[in-house]
Order: sequence, then C-alpha cells, then structure tokens
Amino acid sequence: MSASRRAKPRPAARAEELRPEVPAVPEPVPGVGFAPSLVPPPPEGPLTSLLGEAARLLQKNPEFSSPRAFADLWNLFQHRTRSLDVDDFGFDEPASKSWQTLFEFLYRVWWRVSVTGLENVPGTGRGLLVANHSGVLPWDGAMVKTALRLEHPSRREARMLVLDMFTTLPFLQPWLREMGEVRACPENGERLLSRDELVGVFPEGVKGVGKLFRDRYRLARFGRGGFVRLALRTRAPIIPVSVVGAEEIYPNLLRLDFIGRPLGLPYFPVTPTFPALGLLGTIPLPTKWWIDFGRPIVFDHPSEIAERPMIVNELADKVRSTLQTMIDSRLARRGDVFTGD
Amino acid sequence: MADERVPGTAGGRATRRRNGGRVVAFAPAATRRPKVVVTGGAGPLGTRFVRALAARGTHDVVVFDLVPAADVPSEVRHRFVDLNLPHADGTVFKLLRDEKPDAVIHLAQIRSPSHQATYVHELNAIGSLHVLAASGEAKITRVILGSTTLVYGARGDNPNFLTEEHPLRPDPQDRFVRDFVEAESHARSHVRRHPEAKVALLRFAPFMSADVRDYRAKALGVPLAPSLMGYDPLLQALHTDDAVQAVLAALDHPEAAGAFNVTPEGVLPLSTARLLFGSLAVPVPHPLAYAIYEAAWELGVGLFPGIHAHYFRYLCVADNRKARKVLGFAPRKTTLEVMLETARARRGGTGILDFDRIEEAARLAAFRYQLRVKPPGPPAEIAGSGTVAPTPRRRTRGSEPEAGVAS
Repeated sequence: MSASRRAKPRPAARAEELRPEVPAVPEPVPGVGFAPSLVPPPPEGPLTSLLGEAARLLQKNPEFSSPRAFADLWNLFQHRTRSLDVDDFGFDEPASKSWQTLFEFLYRVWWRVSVTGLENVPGTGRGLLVANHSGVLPWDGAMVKTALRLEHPSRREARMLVLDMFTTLPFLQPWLREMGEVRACPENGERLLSRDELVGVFPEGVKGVGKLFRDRYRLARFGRGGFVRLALRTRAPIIPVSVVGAEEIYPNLLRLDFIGRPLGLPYFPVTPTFPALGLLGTIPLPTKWWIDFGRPIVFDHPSEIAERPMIVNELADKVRSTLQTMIDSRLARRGDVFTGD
Repeated sequence: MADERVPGTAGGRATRRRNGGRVVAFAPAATRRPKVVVTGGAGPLGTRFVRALAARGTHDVVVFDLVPAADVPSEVRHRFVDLNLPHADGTVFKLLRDEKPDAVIHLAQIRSPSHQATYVHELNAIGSLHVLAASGEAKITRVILGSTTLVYGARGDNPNFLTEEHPLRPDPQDRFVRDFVEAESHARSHVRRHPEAKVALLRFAPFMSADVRDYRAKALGVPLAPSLMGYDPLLQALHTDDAVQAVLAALDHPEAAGAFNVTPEGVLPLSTARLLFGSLAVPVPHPLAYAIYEAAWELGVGLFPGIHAHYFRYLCVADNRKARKVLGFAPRKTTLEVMLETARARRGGTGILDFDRIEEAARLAAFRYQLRVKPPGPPAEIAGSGTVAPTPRRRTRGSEPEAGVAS
C-alpha cells in the first residue's frame, strides 16, 4: 500500500482510468511529457510497477475488464500446470510432472527407496506389473511409478489400474486421471496393453491395501484372476513387483468398518496416530523401502485359457507364490524397519 | 454437381418418378439411382446429411418432415409427415409404398432435453417405432437409425471406452436419455420381427459445431455456472460434419447392421472445455449441485434436468473402433478441435484467450495424437513384444465383457 502511495497518482484521473467504457484516454506520447494518464513511471517499487502494468494492459485492451476476461484469467490460472493435450485416458503429462517434487522427496528422502531388477522391465512394449498392495493409502503405487520414472533407463511411465472406490471419489477422480491412473477394469487394461503401455495392477485390491498390521506381508487372495486373463489375452509378460517397507508406514491396528461404511469408505483404519492425531496422523512413517522387479513370467498358453477359470486361478496362484517368495527373501535380508540395516 | 449428373435422372421429379418403378439395387445408374428417404430431413443433422447426399449426387433423396429442408437442391423432394400423430405409422407406410426407397434413414430426434417431455417422448421413442413399423410393412430392408452415446449412461464404473456390447444403463429417471433407449429397443424388436432387415444404429457422441445449438454447447457457454465439486469427467464432442460422414458411410455399407459408436478421436476434460468456452465454474458439493440444476430446470432457466448432471460427473465416452473397421468411418476432427471451433464461434471475440495460438496447439495435439495413438487393431494383429518370446498369433476371442476383474 505504501508503495502505491508513493506513486502519487492524481485521484480524479485514476477513477476515470479504471473505467474501461471511457474511451477518452489519449495515447501517451513517448518522450513528450505525459498525457492525462495515471500510469506511473515504471521503476517505483514492485507493487506500483505491477499496478502500472495492469493499468497499461487495461488501457490497451479494454476487453480485459469484461466478466468473460475474468473467467478466462481464473480458468487460465487453474490450468497453469495443465496442457490441452491429454491422452485417451486423460493423462496430462505436465500436470503429473508438477507433482514430481513431492514424489521425489518421498522416494529419495522419506522412504529412501532401493530398487533392484529394473532390467526385468522392458524398455519398450507392453508389460503387466503385478505388485503386492499395502499401506492403507496407495503410496506403493506412486512409488513404483516414481521408481520407473526416475531410475528406469527408458523412463517408463507405468499406468496403474486403480480401484473403483478411488476413481469415483470427488477430487481424487480428476487427480488420478491427470496422473495417468486408470480405473481397474478388463476393458481399460486391454486397451492400455494393446497400446504397448506398461500397466500396473495390485491384484489383492482392497484386501491388500486395508490389511491389518498383524497380517503384513502375507498376500491376500489375488482377486478373481483378472490380471491373468489380461495377460493371456494381450500376450503381455507379467513382471512381479515386491514392495517391502510399505506395510509399516501406517500400522493398521484395527478396522472400524461401521464408521467407514456410512462415509462411503471401504474401511476405516485405526493406527497408533490416525484418528488420535487427526490430520497429523496421516503422515506416513519414514520406513526404509525396497522395490524389487522380478523376472518376467510369460504364459505360453493359448488365449482361450482365459475362459477356463480353474486354470486361470492356478496361474494366478503361481504368480502369487512367486511374489510371496520375493517378499519373503527380501524380508529375510532386511534388518531394521527404519534403517534397513 | 448438376453437370456430373447421369443423363436420364436430371429431368426433374416426374421423370424420376416414372423411371423409378421397381427397386433394383444395382441397376445401371442411367436408369435409376438408389432412393433414400430421410425422416427428420429438415432437422439440424438431417438437413446437413441431405445436403451432403444431394451434393454427392449418388442417390435420390426424399425428405419426410414437417417442413422442407432448407438450402437443399430443388431435386430433393419433401413429403409432409408428422411423427407425433397417433397414426403416423400408417402415413409413413403409405408414403413409403408410394416412394419405394432402398433405405430409410431416421434422423428425426430432439437431441436436447426439453420441458415438453411428452412431445420429445412421442417423437424420439414412439416416432422411431412408427418409422420402424412402417418400414417393416413396406419391406424396406435397410434402416439407419440415429441414436446417442448417452444411452450407455454416465456411471462411475464405466470403462473409459464403452464398446457397443456394453449394457445400456442410463439413470432410469433421465427421461430424455430413456427415450433413446426405448427407440433402440424398438429397433431390436424390429430386427427380431424382420430378420432380413439390416438395421444400423448410429450412436452419435453429442454434437457440436459452430452452427449447432446443442444444450451441451449452451451449458458450457454459460458465463457463471455451478459445477459438481471435485469431479472433472472426460467429454467427447462430435462435429456435425463427421456425423454426416458416418451416416453416409452407413448408407454405403448396406450390410452393416447393429450398433455403432460414432465418436471422434480424443477426449477433453470438462474443466478444459470450460476454459475454452470461457465459463466460470462455481464448485458446489455434488448433492447440492444436483438440486441447483433441478431447481434451475424447474424454473425454466436450466438447460437440463438435475438428473442429467450425471453426464458432468462420470464418464460416458464411447469407442469408435467398430465404426472405423466396419463402416470405414474416419472422423476428421478431434474432440479438442470441435470444442475449440464451437467455443470460438459462441464467444464471438470476447475474453482474452488467444484462439489462434490455441488452435495451433490443437492442431499439433491432433497430429501428435495420430502418432501416439495407433488405433489398436483387432487382437489377432498383436504380436509379442519386449522380452516376450515370439508367441503364436492369437485367435479372436469372445467379446463378452467381464465385471470386476483386475481389482
């Protein structure tokens, strides 16, 4: 405010200036004195020069002060990180990159993620990442994605298939879409894989992410084998991904489903900190993480096998036991939960 | 175009009528061109289609509507039909018996929600029934019926791209969409009654173009409007020219029957559409937003009933691969380009968006789109890739969608 006072504009002229429908503002002639205009001389402090710029802008383009212009300015502000060019599933690359800082911080500093087996993820072409799910909130998906973005030689963009319950929630729906995540259903998976994308699934689903602390690192049932059918139909290799460290970020002691259900949530976790400390309780614990990409599993079966549920279930169980072995061997080598030594 | 017309058909109405005795599908063009009846040929889509077909000069065109189509060549004839009359089917039958067309194209639909719900129901649902019944009696084997992708319904558990096999699940209270579903069910019964009939259902994505006043374009152009807080679905918009191309393609493939999604390439988030149209959204918690839309509708200022706001909350985007493959339909404009063209026309130069630059970006996006999205072919063409060992070519599989997999 003090800066604007320093500019000492003539008050009558100011009132006239800000009204766009008064066209009688003569053009300022450069060099010669100054016509009745309240545009202050430029170097007068940041606020004055900003106001001056704004006034000059209004003077040049009277349409700037219309309500439409206000709507445009506001919409443009909201779109400042976004692009016009989204893909079929609404993935907005610039918008998703604008969250990179947060994820990189979590990845490098907070959870100090160690990655092995990146050579098992193909540099081009389709692939189906099958990971264990844990940690109440799906941070594990975000970290698998970040690992591939940061550490994979071809900087692959993994498209995670997300549970319905997340993709229909307000605010989460547009955000997940922008980040490139897709609702989990066979049609979406097939479409993505047939476009040679890298697709990530968590076949445990809600049972995995809402697991109790005492059940940690014990894989739940692998859905209905949908991911196997997906791999059979699109001939995509399955790459098992074990995530170790995510089970301990929110030690889920108790599930109060009678609170969660009416709120439309699939579960209501009770952790040592969560309802007790309110929002502070949603800060995950800084455990040490390992993400291991296993050797690709390729099914040589004809795709008709996808219509035989018993065989599909058997194949799913094979993948599940492979993943459980990977998790167990990592757990055996892991020392402290927080330091990893 | 008049110069290119085959001799013997240029002689005006009377000549053609005398020539057109029996329907012979592949008769020499000099004796008779195939004849097409367009019901609703004076409507927004109908007029454009009739113009395009007349310009092509391959068919004789007769418009069945309340009024003649505007700005069409004089050789396009008009027969008065009011599909709202209870005995419209009889009238249409008599006219069809008289005209003996090779194909009936039914485009008489109101494509925006209306307060006169009864009128819309009579036209969109019962009107289709009348036309189908009359075509069946008149032994017309080729019927093309306009529908909409809204029939799939906007649901939270829709896949991102709905295929033609997906069940139709609109909200049962949404009368406007329900009428289209009813029309489709009449088409299915028609095929059951007349197995020889080839009925093509063209499910158009909502239209937009600079000169079409669709409720969606209007809703997006409202300067200040409530929006469903926290929801930002992807939308499709089809250019009317592409819709016309699809009807022409369906006419050129007389064997193509069943439903076809006629949709453009690309999608656009609702918020980006609002940016282009210059509409300021006031986020309101969604239960309240439904109530506000409903109240506005009841007061006569709303553009659609509250229940229809589902389509601004959840996905209802359809896949055009079948139309591309079977009909050879190739949309020329992406959703972004269509929205941009419409927005620019509706704004009339207000606001501060630099549309030239946005258009450049849209062209670039459309180009990149073609590079990035190789339209996925049938599964048989997919070969193994990456670390996968070469696998035998896969055979086509059954197309029944499964629910709740990959959870």
